[in-house]
Amino acid sequence: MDFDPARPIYQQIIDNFKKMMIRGELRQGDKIPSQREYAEMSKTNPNTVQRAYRELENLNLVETLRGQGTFVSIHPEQLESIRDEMASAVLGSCIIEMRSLGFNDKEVRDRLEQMQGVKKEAASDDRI
Amino acid sequence: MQTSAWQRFSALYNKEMRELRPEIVIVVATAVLICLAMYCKSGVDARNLLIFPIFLLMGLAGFLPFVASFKLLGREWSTNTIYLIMSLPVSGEMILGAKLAALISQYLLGTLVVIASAVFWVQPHLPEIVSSINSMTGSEVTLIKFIPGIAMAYLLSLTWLFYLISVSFLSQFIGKLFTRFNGMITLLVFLVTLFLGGWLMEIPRSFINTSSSFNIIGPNIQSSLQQAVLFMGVNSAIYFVVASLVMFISILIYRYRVEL
Amino acid sequence: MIEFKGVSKSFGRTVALDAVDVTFATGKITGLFGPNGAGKSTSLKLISGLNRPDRGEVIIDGRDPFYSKVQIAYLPEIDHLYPWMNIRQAASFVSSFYGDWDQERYRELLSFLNLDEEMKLGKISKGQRAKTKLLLCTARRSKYLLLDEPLSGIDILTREQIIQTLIRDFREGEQSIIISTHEIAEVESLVDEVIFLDRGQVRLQGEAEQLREDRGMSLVDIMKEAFRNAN
Repeated sequence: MDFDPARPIYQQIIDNFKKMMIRGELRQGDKIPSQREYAEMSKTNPNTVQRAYRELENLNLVETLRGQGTFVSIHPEQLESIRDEMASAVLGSCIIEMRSLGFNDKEVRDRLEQMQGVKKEAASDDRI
Repeated sequence: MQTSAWQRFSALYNKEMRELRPEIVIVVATAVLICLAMYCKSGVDARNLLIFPIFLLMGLAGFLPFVASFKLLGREWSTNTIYLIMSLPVSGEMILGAKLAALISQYLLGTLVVIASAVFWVQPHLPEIVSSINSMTGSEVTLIKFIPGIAMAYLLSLTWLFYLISVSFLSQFIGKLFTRFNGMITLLVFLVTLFLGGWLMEIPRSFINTSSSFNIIGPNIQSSLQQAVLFMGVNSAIYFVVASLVMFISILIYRYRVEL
Repeated sequence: MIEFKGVSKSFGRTVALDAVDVTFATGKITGLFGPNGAGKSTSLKLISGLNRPDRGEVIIDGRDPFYSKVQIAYLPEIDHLYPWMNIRQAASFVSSFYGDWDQERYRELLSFLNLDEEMKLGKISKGQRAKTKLLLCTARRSKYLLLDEPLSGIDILTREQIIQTLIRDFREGEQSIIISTHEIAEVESLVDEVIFLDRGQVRLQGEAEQLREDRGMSLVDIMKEAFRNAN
């Protein structure tokens, strides 16, 4: 697992788990690795992992059961709001970036449709 | 949360003995070879000749530990193992004590093996030697009477070695305090300390000489022997005390001044 | 806790540390970074008691470093073990001095690091020597672990093993680790705290994550900037 060293790592750990939950890779009741296991797997400082796990607990995304481990404890509404929040974050930074390059909002939308169209065609070509 | 002092000391002592293994093996192996040579050569003349190598070996066995005292300490620096030693939770007393114990062990092993070899070969001739001494001095002394004298002489040699080793350690530590010319400084400190030590030892010696009468050349060989034993005993004690003092100063220098 | 109070140290005319005031966080992994001659090795030697400061004080748990040697596992940059010993003898030697030696962990680390007890220290490769030094330090449950350039000149696979070992056995909160290294990129996700040293002075100090959040840069880039500003 490679982290971007220019951003806080504990935040990236949290985002990784959020993504897995949104994508359905982690579902309600699934067990996630222990802090120690995760630290070893990702070659990260256990203190950083501890901080991430604590934050995940504070956000009510996971819960730790003594002696058993840490489990995903997410509700569908939470999933929605996280998905929403992450989408806003990604699109938001994209729009800011494009604006800084001098594109206006209409240009951004056109480009977006164009690229999505291209991708759709490519997808249907594959099927043929 | 500390291991026992004995455990720490043994670990250090065994390590030092392992470092001294080549020297010890050389002396013991040579003694064994000379004995074998004597065994093979029949004829009294040949045997008598081989006594000379035994004497030489004796000198070597006595002198090597002093030389090794420079190797034991110097090598820690040259192989960088001093980084390990200085980071260990052990006092200077233990570090130097283990080295001293190993060097004394080397001395004991070497000299005793050589003495045993010599005695083994001389043994049949001993009664002759004793009676010729008796006829020379005109007295009647059996071999047994010589034993305390020989034992005390050996003890004296041990304290003398202790003294030399402690001066060696002191001069090496002081040499290490300087970044340049440490070889010369070590030699200088060694000689100066020997000189100062000798001067210091004169004080008790002269006190004893004036207070009692030491007559080795006495009325008979028996009392001469006793006087000699006493004389050697007192000198052993003096060497021991001065050596301990030098060792103590070395330990202080290690604790408060030696750095990497 | 390890504190440096106004610590200065020179070797001849070279100033290694210049009135340094620093506290090393307890229970964390601290990265001690800086170019050659910055004073990193000297700092670790002062903590281990191999050197004494010319001015100022080094205080470990309220006392002089001399009293803390039993709680410190020190891994110097140079090869400091007896070349005639094999790994078993070296382990037996070292374990005689520390009550915190864990024989089970030693066996386990031996196989994890692919080391053979019979290997003679004078005859093994550089990577194996680095692993042996690490083995002898981490087979102990020491309160302080000081590593001076543990990854220098080591091949990538061995480096991974070394970092894995450190993470696996780190007792966060209880144990304090200080790693001095040039290879900042290698330890980006390993360190909690960082101290940047340059020519004997502290240029920057702080929590790794906080620095990343504040500056939006990796530790490598933060250090480059700190040195550029200093020159």
